Amino acid sequence: MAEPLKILVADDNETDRMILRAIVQQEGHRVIEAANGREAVERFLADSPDIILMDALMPVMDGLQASREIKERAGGDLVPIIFLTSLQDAQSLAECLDSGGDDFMSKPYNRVILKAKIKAFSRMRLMHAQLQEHNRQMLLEQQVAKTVFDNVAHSGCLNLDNIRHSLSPLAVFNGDTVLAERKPDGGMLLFLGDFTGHGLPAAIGAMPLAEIFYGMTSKGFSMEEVLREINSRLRKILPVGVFCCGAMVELNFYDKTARIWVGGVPDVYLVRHRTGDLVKIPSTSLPLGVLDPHEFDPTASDHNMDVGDRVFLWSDGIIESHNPMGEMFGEARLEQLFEETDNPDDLFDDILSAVDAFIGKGNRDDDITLCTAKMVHIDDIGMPTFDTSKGTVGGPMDWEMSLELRDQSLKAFNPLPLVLNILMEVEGLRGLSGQLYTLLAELFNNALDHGILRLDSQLKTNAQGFAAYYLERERRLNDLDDGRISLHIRHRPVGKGGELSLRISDSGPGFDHQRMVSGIDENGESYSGRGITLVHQLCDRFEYRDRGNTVEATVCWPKQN
Amino acid sequence: MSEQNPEPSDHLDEATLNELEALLEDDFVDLVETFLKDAQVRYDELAQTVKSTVAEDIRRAAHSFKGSSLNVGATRLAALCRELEDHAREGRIVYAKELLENIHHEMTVVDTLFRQRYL
Repeated sequence: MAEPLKILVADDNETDRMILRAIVQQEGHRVIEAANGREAVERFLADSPDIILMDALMPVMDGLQASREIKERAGGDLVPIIFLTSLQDAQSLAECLDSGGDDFMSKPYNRVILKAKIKAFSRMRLMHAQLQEHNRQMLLEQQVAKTVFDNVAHSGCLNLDNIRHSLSPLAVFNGDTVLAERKPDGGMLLFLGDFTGHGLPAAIGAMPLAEIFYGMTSKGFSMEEVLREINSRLRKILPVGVFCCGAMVELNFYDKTARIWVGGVPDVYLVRHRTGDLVKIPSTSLPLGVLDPHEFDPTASDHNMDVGDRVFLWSDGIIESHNPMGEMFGEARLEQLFEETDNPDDLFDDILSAVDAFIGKGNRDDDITLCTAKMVHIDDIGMPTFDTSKGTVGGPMDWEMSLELRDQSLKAFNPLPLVLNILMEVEGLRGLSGQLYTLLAELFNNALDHGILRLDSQLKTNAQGFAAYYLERERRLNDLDDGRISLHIRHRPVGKGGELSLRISDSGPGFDHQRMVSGIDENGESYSGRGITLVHQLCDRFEYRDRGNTVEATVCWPKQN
Repeated sequence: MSEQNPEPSDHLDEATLNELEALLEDDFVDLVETFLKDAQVRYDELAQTVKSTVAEDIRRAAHSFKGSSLNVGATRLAALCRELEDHAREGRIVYAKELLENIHHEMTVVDTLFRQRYL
């Protein structure tokens, strides 16, 4: 026999109640009785019966009214009500169902049918309870998943003053992600992603994405490298048809430049603070996770940015939001906001309130995910501090290593993240990570650009030249068939601290390191002040040797301040 | 005045009663007693409504008396109640008094039959 149920019999006629009680008890169920509608509601509240057999016509309160009150108080729980009635006309029977009844039975009672109905509603109750349990379970699981995701995706550096973003708290289950992290050289990577689909399938890709993004960015990998890794990982783990549209921006606060990659999301906007001019950067790549690693080529565009210039990234949620009439917000309305603004600082809020006003009482089809970042002076934003918890006290103190990259490797591999990673094993150097990375990058890039590729830094003095410089660099790197750069790094303990020595040599004919590092060109004009400042701040010894193709730097720690 | 020898099958539905007896077992006697007591109350209510001549009240009382009669297989009593209910629904109360008398007579017959057989 199935699980015994608690069944409420509400009938003003005692003989009816006796007969019904006998039928129900014979099936092994428990009976609670009520003699009118008021009593039925009271018994329902006191005993929470599983099924109710309700006479339609009763004194004090009739069955219809009792049914309405019970259904209202039952809330999400399913409490089947079967009306017992000798009424025959269709109108009366319909009223029974309208008042919240689930079924009706005509008097005199047919025992077989009544038993079958109780069984059927008992099954329905079980299914309903199961459904509710699954729903509770799903919400619980989403909460857990969200907590794990928040730990992985944390907020990075999204709380910096030059970034603003809008993302609903459960956006991860709508497939939307916004990530930002500083690079060891002081730069910043910003990513906005929009996975296809909704719910857990959309959320699941966001975790490895965030993990790769934060891990690689803080180790100094370039935007292209981060994108390649994300693409190849998503390609591997996501089923066909699930992928991530996105846009990534790398901000360099020294050079005041932005590298922008757009893959499948609406145009990224770059707004000039002074002129209000709008540059639209359209999508040039397929989304992440679509192409095989060897087919994926993240082509980014480079842009100069003055202090105050802003980039805007968004998912299609804004453009595709609907008003109650079913119209889309559209790109034209968005562009109009940019044209009409008096103060670009207000644009972020203007967009959100315009979209909000547009949607009105309409349905929110998608999350409004929006992110903007402003170019600032490096001094205003400071160097990043990374929280590294790995390593033992002190770490490796006495070691040296050599790494030589030949032409093929120079094209294919950026050794800086790897080298920085090893340096960060030395606990005493961790506080200097940003500066060490910048020093390494400066010396290595000088060796590559000027030593091997023999590029003239004069080119970089203006915006057009900047672009030309990088085009030429890429061309020469591609054509490179001879050349090597070797890095020799040694660390040894000294007193309470240590001493780090770097030697970087290239196979080129030599160049004027002094000029590169001091940032003084032939005309005695400074093009970049940071190299020389950094060298003085950080290095205890610094010299170039041989024919100008070897540079040596020594950094001692702890630093005396 | 009760008939001397009423024929049970003219007044009661044997199949229903047998089924109830099987279902309720020892409680069946209780059911019969409860019905007889209840029938007296319902008849008094019905008589009150007929006196008041409000058709809707008559219909309601007759409907409810019909239901409880049907339960215990008092088919002829139920049929008379139904006749009264139908007239009342159409607003005809001219036959009400006459039908009420018939109902009263049938009640005494049913009372006698039940007492003879079960009590």
